[in-house]
Amino acid sequence: MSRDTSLFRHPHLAVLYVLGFLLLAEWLFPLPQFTDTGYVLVFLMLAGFFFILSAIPMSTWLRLPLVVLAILVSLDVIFFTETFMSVAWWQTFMSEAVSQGNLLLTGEWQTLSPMFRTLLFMIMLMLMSFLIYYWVIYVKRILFFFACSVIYVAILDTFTMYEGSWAMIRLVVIGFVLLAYLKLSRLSTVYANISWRDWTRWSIGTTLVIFVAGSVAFFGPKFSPQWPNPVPYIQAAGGFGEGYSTENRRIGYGEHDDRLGGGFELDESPVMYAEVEDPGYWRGEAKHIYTGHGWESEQHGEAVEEQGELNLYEEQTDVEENEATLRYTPYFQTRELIFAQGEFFEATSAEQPLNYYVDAISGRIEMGSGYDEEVGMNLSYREAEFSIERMQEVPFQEGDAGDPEGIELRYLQTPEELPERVTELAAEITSEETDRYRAVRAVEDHLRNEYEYETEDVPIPEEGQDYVDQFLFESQYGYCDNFSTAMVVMLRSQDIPARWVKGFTPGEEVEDGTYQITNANAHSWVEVYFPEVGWVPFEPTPGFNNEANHAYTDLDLSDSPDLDDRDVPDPLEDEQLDEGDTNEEEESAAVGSSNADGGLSPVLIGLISVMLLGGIIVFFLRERIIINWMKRKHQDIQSTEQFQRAYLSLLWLLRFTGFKRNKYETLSEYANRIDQRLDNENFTRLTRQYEDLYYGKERSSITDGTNEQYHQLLRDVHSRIAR
Amino acid sequence: MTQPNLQIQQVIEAVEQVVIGKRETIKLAVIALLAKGHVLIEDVPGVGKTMLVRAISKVTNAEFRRIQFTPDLLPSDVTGVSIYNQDQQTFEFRAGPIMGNIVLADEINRSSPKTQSALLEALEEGKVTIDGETHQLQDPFFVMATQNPIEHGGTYPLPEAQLDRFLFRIKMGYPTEADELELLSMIEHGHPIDQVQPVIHVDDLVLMQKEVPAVYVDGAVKQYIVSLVRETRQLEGVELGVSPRGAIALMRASQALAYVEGRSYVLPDDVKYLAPHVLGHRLVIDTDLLSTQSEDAEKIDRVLRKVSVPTASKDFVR
Repeated sequence: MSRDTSLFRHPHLAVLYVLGFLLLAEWLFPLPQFTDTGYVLVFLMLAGFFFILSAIPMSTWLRLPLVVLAILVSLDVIFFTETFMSVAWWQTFMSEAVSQGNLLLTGEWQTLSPMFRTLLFMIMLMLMSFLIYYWVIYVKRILFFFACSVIYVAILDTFTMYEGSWAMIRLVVIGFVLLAYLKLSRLSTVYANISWRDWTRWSIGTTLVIFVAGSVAFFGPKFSPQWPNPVPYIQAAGGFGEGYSTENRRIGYGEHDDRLGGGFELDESPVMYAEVEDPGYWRGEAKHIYTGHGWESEQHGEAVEEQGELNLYEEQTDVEENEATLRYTPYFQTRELIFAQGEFFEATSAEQPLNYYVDAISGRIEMGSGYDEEVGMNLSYREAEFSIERMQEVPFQEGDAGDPEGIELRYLQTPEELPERVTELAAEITSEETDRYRAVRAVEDHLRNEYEYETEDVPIPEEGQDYVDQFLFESQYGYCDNFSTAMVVMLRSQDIPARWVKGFTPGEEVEDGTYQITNANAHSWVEVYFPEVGWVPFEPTPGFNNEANHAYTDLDLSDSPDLDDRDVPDPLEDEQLDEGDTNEEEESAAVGSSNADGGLSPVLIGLISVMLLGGIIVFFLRERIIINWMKRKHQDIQSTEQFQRAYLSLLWLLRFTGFKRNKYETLSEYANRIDQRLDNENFTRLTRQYEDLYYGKERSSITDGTNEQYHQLLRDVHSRIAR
Repeated sequence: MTQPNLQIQQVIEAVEQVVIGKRETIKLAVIALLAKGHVLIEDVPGVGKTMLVRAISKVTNAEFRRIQFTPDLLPSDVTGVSIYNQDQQTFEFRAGPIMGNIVLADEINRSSPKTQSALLEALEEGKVTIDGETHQLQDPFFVMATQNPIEHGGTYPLPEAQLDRFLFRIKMGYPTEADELELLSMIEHGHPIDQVQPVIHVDDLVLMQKEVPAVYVDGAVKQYIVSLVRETRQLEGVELGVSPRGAIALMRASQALAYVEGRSYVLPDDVKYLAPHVLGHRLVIDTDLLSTQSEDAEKIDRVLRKVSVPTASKDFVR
């Protein structure tokens, strides 16, 4: 490749090359949609650089350092805080390279660091650009890659949240240009003297066609999908739905909730083990900005306190101090966070000093660097006993509830575009209630009773559609994210301060007092603020009970008819939940939508690589695959009909493998030509039979030896291809 | 599978004893004979045109006649004439040389158009009318006309309508060096035509002629013929393409070829093989110059390359 100037000798190939780059770009655009990378531009520029590099003739000794330099610069942009190429920079880089290289060698793919994964991805980008160069310039084929791109976008569109419509339109336009361009270059070989005027007219005509087709595609009415979403079927057929134990899947406890919706996958990889007497929900953090399609939390650095405490309950609430031991597994994506039950106030470790920061607003507890994930943690926290009576004293609809200003400011937010009917529904449900507690319970009960719990095929709201509105009025089924978000939004619409909380359910007791919590236990619920009580958790998702946080001290059940249809927690129920209902609980587990750390998921890289590799293998073995298929299909030719079919597919195979029949060639001329190349007579013999059947009047039966001739011919073609 | 027709093979081989290295020409002549067509051989003198015709007539035991066309040849010299017989006081018909089975019309373009048309009418009608009296020609009746290449002086080129009546136009060409050498050795001690023995009877020939139309022509092949013929009408530099008569001729000739090959149906190969011979001379070129045979062949070749051969149809595989 080094001293090749073919791109410059054939400027028309440069256009194809640019189109190739655009196609590659289509592969990169979706990355932020289903990975956490925010650096698509870097990848694009890098790929562009590689493309230019492949096209410029130069010696390998110059090319290689340039490639390395480009990769290092890109890594620096994405990951490094140190000055580029400084001593510290090199130290970080080398230690990373050594440790990750070891992981690579030992096959511990899941634990690779984001930087190293990104490095691998960049190397793949480089290979891709060289490969496309090879395809365009030497093989002069790009349609295969084009087809791959279309399939890729279609798959992403179907199976992920990626909205592929625009990409498809772009691809169609690229495809048109490609087609027109290939046609043009073919024309120019046939008609040598095409003037510039002709070129111009051709380009104008082509552009017009592309523009019109593109516009029609864009503005014209589009059919909704003509068949049901294939994902559930595929999952069912592939046995995914359950017991699927690949670590590092994009489920469980994620950091990004700004776009909720869609079905989700289960993953039973254990993320932590907890030793606790009284199991309850493990609280991760609360989010309070509802955007219409998900949750966000504001950046509030001033609220972060080192070695701080959580403040969930007001002074008047009775609390009881408790302790638990928590140990994270390496598969836990967000192991820099501390999860606690109730109101956390201290974490220690016998093995090393623990350094953590508490965000007083969200309740997020993040550990400082240098923490060895696998050591155990002793957590101290306060569990509250909420007084129902006190909660019922908070007025609803009439009178001042007495919420502090800061609470009102933050926790009553709803998006401006929130559809009116959500508010109307909430008002209708709570119309008869006069205190906040009953109003909250009314909404909770409504959600628990009127909506279906469903994990598969949960729709993603369309652009401009509200997530809650879509759940409440259209699909009417969903999982924990749907229920909890809907409850928060409905409460807020009635001026009840509420927030969205995520964490884990108690998990399964594996030993006495030890609970195993997996990714599938990830969950989300609701906290409602009551003056003089604090933040009280509620559980709107059917099939789940947050009994640990609900201690009804002063409760007289007969006083509260509203609570009757709600499952009152008892030990039996608890057991049922742990054993019988585990599936249900697990299936509601996905909180958030994507994995935690930056860079690219190795699963994704693996998937793309496997697809690419598979595509390439199929491409190169296509003839062999077809021949083997034909061998099986036409194993035993008995009737004339079978023979006709076999012969016609033979014609097709030969055309496909480059032994094309010219249209003016008669079959026997063709057969003769092929036989001479294959040094045999089988094709001619078969052709005579076929002629007899096709041009003749009587349908004679097939002769002996037809099978042998046919299969010998297939073998000959096969070995011919192998050469 | 299919075996070539044995009798025909014998005929061809017997003729080949005399006309060295011209198997293809012989075969074409036999095909024309079987298809009840006539052949125009266009070539320089002395390449064995006469010998070919004589050999064929001898092998098939047919009556051979020869007409040497000269500028002063009259139509009656071809067809025959009624002469007053004084003894019987009647007009008596004296048959002309056309009343044979196999007629060699030598240098046909040397005589006047009037005489030419007398012959060509006979070719088409299969009978001649003299003084109001119709005389049936012999059966089989096969004319092999020769003509000198048109660029030679003192010739009356055949009009297009007349050319159309010949099934084939064939060029013999010079023999190869080896063939020419063999020819000399063969002639050295007397002419081999004298040793040629009939291999079939003329009545068998008539029978075979009747069997040729029974050869099956599939719709796809007919379509192919029609496509070819229609394509000739689109040719560049051609004023008139091939007429429907040409299409019929191509089909009939293909049937005869299939018959010779011993096949009961026509292949596109037959059509393709015969197309240059059947169609070439039927093109009317729109220049002042008349086209040569090789130019015509090149044009037909272009046609053949344009038309796709039928190999499968939708309703074929059920």
